[in-house]
Amino acid sequence: MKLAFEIAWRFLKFSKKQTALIIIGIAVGVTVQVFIGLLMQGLQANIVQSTVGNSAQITVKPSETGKYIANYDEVMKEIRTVDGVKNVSHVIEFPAFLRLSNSDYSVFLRGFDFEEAEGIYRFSEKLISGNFPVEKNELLIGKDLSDKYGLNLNSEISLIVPPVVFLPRTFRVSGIYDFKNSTLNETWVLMKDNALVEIGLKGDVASTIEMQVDEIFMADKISSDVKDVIKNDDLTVSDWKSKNAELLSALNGQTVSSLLIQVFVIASVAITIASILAVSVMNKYKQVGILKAMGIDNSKTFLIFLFQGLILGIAGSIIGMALGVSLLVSFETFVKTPDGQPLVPISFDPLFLSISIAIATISASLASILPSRKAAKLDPVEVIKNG
Amino acid sequence: MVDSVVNTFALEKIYGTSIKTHALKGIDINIKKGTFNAIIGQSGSGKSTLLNMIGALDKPTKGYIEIDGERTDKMNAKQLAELRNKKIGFIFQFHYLLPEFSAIENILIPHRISNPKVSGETHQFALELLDAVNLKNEMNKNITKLSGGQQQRVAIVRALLNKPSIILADEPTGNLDSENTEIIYKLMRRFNKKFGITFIIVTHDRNVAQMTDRIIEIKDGLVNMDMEKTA
Repeated sequence: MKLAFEIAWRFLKFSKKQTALIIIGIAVGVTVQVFIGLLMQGLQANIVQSTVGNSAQITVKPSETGKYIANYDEVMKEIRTVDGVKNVSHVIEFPAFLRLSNSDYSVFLRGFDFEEAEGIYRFSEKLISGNFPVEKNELLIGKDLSDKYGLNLNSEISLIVPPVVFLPRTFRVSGIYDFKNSTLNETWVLMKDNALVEIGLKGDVASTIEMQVDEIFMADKISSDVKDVIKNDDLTVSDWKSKNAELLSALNGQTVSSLLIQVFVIASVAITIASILAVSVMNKYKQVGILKAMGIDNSKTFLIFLFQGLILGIAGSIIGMALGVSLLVSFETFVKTPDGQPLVPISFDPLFLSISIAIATISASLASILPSRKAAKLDPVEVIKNG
Repeated sequence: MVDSVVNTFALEKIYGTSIKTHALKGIDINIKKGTFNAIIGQSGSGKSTLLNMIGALDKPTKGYIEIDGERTDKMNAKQLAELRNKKIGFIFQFHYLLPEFSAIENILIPHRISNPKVSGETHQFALELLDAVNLKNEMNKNITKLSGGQQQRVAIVRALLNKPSIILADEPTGNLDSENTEIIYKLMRRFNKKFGITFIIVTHDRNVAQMTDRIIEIKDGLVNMDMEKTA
């Protein structure tokens, strides 16, 4: 075994240019594979994060429209016992009209315990001016609503809440938020939950209980766990996956196409190795014949060329990984969005990198099997006779 | 035939399928232990074919060979490899050393094939042999840096290292000048006497053959002459 490895090593060292060429070939393949793989992972994580990362991933609502959850505190307590659930919060909400110079505009009032809901919505990051509401007559409006109707900090506005009639009080804009989503920015008007409870005249209730999960793609499983825990047929539990079937199928499509590209890249690397090693066996035809005349057996001859594939695979994949990671770091550093954030935030998943190295190394070794068998079967007398 | 190291029995070799070449037509020879033999014959007479079959590199079409009393046709590939490694040493016209290794590394390869580690004793023996062929100072040089005569001496040492029963030499001086030819023959003779190793040398040079104990002439695939020198 040691001799076979040493001979393999010497063969590679002796043909330095050829060895360098093969290693570069493998490295380029692995670079492409790592680059595409991690870019796609980053892209998907980014899409998922921007789509559902800063919103509720599981919601609990009354099954019947127009109903509310009266004992929401207890239900929330039960939900918090479920594994994988985080940032549980409640919201009270109903539609309203914003009255501006005798015209009414439709909005959606949402009442939060801002501290409790911070985990899901990250309000503190979204607040672009002013402060959170402190008094019951204070509210937050979105950037687009502010721009559209010329509303600013401390602007006073009136609200009409059906079926409640015109509210006698006026409200003050205490802050402006930006969710980077024009629909939400235009329609959501945020208040303290207890302020909204007074307006709604329904008592201390919640319209929805919202939560996030540790593993975003486990939301459907955790959602059924939540259902089992609350054991209430009057409440409906739903998760983001069931509401975003199209997004999921797009993500799956992207995963499959990314995988296919990676498979083709690795396959072409393997074929290249196999053909170059086949040429290498031809080049070492004489040496194999000499070794066989000296009594090296077929299995050791096989090992010599298998080790060559293994050494080339390990060297090529490590260099390829380093190149791929450097390329991604440059990509992350230089390709930015207008606000200075990386266009695609990349996470250098060690598992993905280890798997890439393992696959490239195994492919290189498998690719060397055919030439190795050819070498093992070589008849020494052919070499001796033909010189 | 206790003292025989090689016995061939009605050895025949036919090459080709559509156009057949009858290289050997029935060779019966026995080679005694510790002797120094020459196989001569013209180009294409079948002498190298015979040597390759004795060395278990090639298989006879008919007949069989015994090496140290064991039939080689009954052995599998692994046993044949082991036989070549332990009992046979080869010296070829073109030295056939590995260009990727130094002189001493080339010499140690046959030993390392069957032994994972080179013992101090073997290393010492290799050095003694290199000294005997006057190459101790060149032992760490890459084989490509040595002259033709030096390379052939390295090949002789390589063939000797495992202390085989037989050394098969196919035109070992065919590529060398007369001075080096003499050096090589003297060395082979010396090792034959010192270690009692049987030498079978294929040559077309009758002058070289004259220096051996026995001359076997192969002509048209048959033994044409078998002449033993009387002491």
